Parts: sequence; structure tokens; C-alpha cells
Amino acid sequence: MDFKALRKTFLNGIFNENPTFRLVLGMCPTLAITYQASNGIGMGLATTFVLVFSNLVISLLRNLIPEKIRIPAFIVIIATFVTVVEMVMHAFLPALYDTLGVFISLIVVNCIIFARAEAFAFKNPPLLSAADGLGMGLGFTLAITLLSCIRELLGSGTIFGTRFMPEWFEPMAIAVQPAGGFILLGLTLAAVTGIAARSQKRKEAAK
Amino acid sequence: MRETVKLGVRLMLFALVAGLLLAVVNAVTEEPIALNERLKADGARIAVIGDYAFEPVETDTGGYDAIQSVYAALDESGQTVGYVYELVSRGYGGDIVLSVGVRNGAVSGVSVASHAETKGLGTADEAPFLQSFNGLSQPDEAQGVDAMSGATVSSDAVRGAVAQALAHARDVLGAGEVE
Repeated sequence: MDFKALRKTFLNGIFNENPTFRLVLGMCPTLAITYQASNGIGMGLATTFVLVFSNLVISLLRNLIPEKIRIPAFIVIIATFVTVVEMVMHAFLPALYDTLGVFISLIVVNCIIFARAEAFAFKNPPLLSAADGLGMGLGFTLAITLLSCIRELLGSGTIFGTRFMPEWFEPMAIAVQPAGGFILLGLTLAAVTGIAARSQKRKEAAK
Repeated sequence: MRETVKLGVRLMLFALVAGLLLAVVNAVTEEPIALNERLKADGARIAVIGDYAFEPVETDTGGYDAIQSVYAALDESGQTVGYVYELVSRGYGGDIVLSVGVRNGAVSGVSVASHAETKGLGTADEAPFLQSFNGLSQPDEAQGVDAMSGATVSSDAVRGAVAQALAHARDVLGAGEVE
């Protein structure tokens, strides 16, 4: 296995198969917590940590985990890392822990993590699986941070708590509410898909 | 049957390793988590009197309508060093919830937990007003503190609440006789 394959796997998670914008996985945390930018990056990095380590461990143990009990085994492994994240965050980042609340524990049932365990880590060597976890995790982080920046900018006029909108700007309360989350997610999804389709077409034309 | 047992044992081993790992992480994070929880629960109380343990005090608050609850601040040997009053007072835009620390019969700090006033009572601009209560020991003195200009009703609400805390500490708890 060479460096090229690692890089390809890593970048795959960020662009071609971005979990939020291309695979449309993990919508629950995406919609629930993206009303401020700090939440997006905190949730994204916590999920990335869990993804990298669960992928790595599942890949290392893939010959020891019997096919029949792979699902409970995955859950035990994923839940362990989620609990680690939860305890560490509670101890050292109490403010973030308070805002993310129950959604930290709910990383356990984030379908991105489960999908990568089942579709990738269970069939691939450890290093490649860790690269996949890192790519997917950072892809998720980028996507929800982008969405949460847009929502915070429109809903509160700020990004990461710093004011960006001019004085006269009246914050649109709907942007930080769940309904606005749906609308903005849809628009962002459309924009990303449009850009991807256009670059695809250009590539084909160049051929 | 045999296979079921085998699978069960395998899964048990995974769970065992996971449990051990979590035990290690728990050992590391237990203390900071306890500290955070305490700061969250006692944060407002610590802000007005200092870093002590707090215990609710059963006391008669009849005639003191603003007082919601009273906590004793205990030092390490369990001695009461002062009291923290949690009060609700009617302001201009709604209820003002505030904590008042009383130590040796005098105000050690006032902090506003929540309010619905026009703007920022309890924020940085109003800090001098809240600080001006520190050290006062007579309810009349608390009533005489200079009001914030343009926020007379809000100021009155805070002054009234602080005066009640001082009066209660002096008359009911007898805190003024310490020292």
C-alpha cells in the first residue's frame, strides 16, 4: 500500500464522497447543532476523532470479529470512543459540552461512522481505514462548519461570535431555527452539487 | 449452541477491553468533571462570596418576599463564614434574579443571574453599580446607593433586594453578630 492510495482515500472523504454534501449522511447532528460556527467545528472534530479510532480499531480486529456479531461489536467499539470524547469534553471543554449536550452521546448513532465501519474499515487494512476515517471526518467537519457559519451569519450576524454584518442588518431568526436549517442545508447542497456537476462537465469536455 | 457461547464470549471480551479503557479515561477526567459541575451549580454563589462549599439553610423568610433561598457558605472545617441569598425582584421589564453574598453582616458581592430590563443590567457597564453595594451592612445604606441613571426602576429593584438580604441576615440569622 503506497502513499498515493492513502492520499486518494483521504481526499475521497473530503470531496468526491463528502459525507454531508455527497452521501447526505449524518443529517441529524447537521441540522440540530449548526446554528453557531463553534458548534459546527466542535461537533465535527469530535466525530472525526471517533471515526478515525473506530475505523482503525475495527480494521485491526476485522479478522477477530465474527461476521455474525459484527454489528454489536461495532457498536461496542464506537460507543467506547464516543464515551471517551464525552468525558474528555466534559472535563476540559465544559462550555462546548453544555451547548452540544445530548448530541455528543448521539455520535454513537451517527450513520457516517457506522457506514464507514461496515463499508470500509471491515474490509480494508488499518492505515487505509484510518485515512478514510480522517478524510470522512474532516469532510464532515468542513461541511457542517460551512453550514453553521452561514446560519450564524444570517441568524445572528456573527461568525465565531465576531460581528460581520453591518449595523443595519436585522438578524433572521429563522436561520438559527430548525426550519431555517433545513432550507439553508438544501440551498448549500444544491450549490455544492451544482459546482461539482459543472467541474465534472468541464473535465469531460477537456477529454 | 456451542457457536452461540463462542460468539458471546468473544463479544464479552470486546466489552471487557472497552470497559477497561473507559475506566482509565474516567480516572483521568473524574476530578475536572466534578470541579466543572460544582462551578456550574455554585458559580453565581462563588462569584459573590468566594470559593466555599454551599449548603441550603432552612430559615423563616416570612416578610421578606424577594428571598427565594438562602445558602450558608462553609469553609473547609465546616464553619459558616457567610450567607448567599438568591432573590427575585420585580424590575422594569420583568423579574430580576440576583445573588447577594453577606459576610459578617456586610455585602460581599452582588451578581445578576437573569433579567428582562431594557439593556445590560448586570453586564460590564453596570458593574460599578453592583459593586457599590460591597461592604455595606445596613439595609438603609443599600437603599441609599446611587441609582443607575436612566434605570431607576431597575436600580430600585436591586436596592430593595439587597436591603432585604441584609435585613434578613441581621434580624433572622443574626449574621451581624459574627466577630
